Amino acid sequence: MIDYQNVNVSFGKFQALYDVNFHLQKGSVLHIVGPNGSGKTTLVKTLVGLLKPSNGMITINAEHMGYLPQKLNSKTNMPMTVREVIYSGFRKQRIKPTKEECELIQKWLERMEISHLFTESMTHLSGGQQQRVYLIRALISKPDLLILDEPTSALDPSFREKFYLLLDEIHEQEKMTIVHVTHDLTDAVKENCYVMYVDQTIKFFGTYHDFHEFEHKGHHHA
Amino acid sequence: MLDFLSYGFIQQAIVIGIALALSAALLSPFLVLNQQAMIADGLAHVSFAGIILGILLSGEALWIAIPFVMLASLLIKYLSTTKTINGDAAIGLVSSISFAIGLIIVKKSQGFNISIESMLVGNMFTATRSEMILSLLILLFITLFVLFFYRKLFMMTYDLNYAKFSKINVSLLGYLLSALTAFFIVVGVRTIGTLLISALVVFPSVISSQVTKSFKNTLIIGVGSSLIIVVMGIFVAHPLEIPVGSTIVVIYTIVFLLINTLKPLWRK
Repeated sequence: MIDYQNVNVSFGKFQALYDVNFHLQKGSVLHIVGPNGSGKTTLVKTLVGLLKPSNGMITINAEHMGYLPQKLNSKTNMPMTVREVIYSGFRKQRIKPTKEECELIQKWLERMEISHLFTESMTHLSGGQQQRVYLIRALISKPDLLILDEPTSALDPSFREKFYLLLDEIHEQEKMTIVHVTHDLTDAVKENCYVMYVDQTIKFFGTYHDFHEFEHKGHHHA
Repeated sequence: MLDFLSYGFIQQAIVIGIALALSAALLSPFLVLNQQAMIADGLAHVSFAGIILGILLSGEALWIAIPFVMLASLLIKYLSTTKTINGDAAIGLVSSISFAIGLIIVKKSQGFNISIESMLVGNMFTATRSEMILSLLILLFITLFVLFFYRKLFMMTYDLNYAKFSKINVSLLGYLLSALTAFFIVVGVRTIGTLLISALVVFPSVISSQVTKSFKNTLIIGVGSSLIIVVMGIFVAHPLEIPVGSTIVVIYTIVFLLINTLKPLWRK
């Protein structure tokens, strides 16, 4: 599904990532960890096509990608409703959403426990509520590859747990490939997933079980 | 009292006013809510030079002015995408250079038969038939552009990175938006004036976003309110013998102040 070969990313003289090589099978879950400024978000940006690598080859075999960025929209005076933002996640968009499309949006809002916000203004929402809206935007058109850049950073702890349960559920149902950047592995991890430790390059890539050993050898993630 | 409506030049002014108001209101949210409100003002300054060059080089000033201002708008867009200059600095740079060149040409050209004041303030009642046709054409182009690309323009306005991720050609759409804005400005400058044309772009979204939560309604209310205000402006300006452009801006301001005063009385 995802294949990186000798990928380097530089900004002028600064090398953000070097010699990145990995392969991820369809349907896998990959958690990316690493210290602040280690290049995690840079890696994600190359994955979603927002950043071209300085050299190397990236191959992604996904029909449709869903993406939840780390920095969410924060234009304070932007008039836009929850429905308008989620609708922009649909693959095909009309001037006026159909009844079925509105019902689908409503179902997702219920699943995220924010069904009362359908026609609410985005600027009236809390950070956590906004993040749930952007997550629905990423999921609404059933992507086969879902990329989440620190999705729980603005969520309150009680919803964080639910968020990961929901993610597990979606992964089980849709069999989508998930790439997830996080600071906190503890909530997120299931035994059969992969973990990547990034610090300008890949320092570790393997199963969660093996990651324990890597950590015990003296490496600590964020 | 409404006798003046029987005059052809008044009817023409109303058609031009409506076409320009609708065009500006349709562009408004995609510029104003994307921190590009000042591009209209900058391009109005550029069109000052464009029209003067046009008058100097050809009988029909707009044939030179339209491509001149469109090129300047693309230059501003290009400069703002290079990381060395900010968007607002690019507008300031290109517009002040153009305005300066325009003034030099006026000063150095013998027997230049146009008053600078009339270009700064504009006059809707002396507009030509070809300007009316151009106003209707620009309205047609902008309407089609917004209808066809509405969702993409919305995504570009609220989240540029997400628009790029969604494989929207943000660069091409951005250039098209700039070129259409330039086209609108050149046609509008002659009738509304260099100094006031940007008000037609800025006010609709500023007013409508005070009363609605949704982007689509911001667009619709902006178009509706502009239509009413511009027609009101023409009706008030003619009998009082005051400039139409200034009257329209004053009415916009009154509406904006009224809404902001009354806003606390109803929940947004």
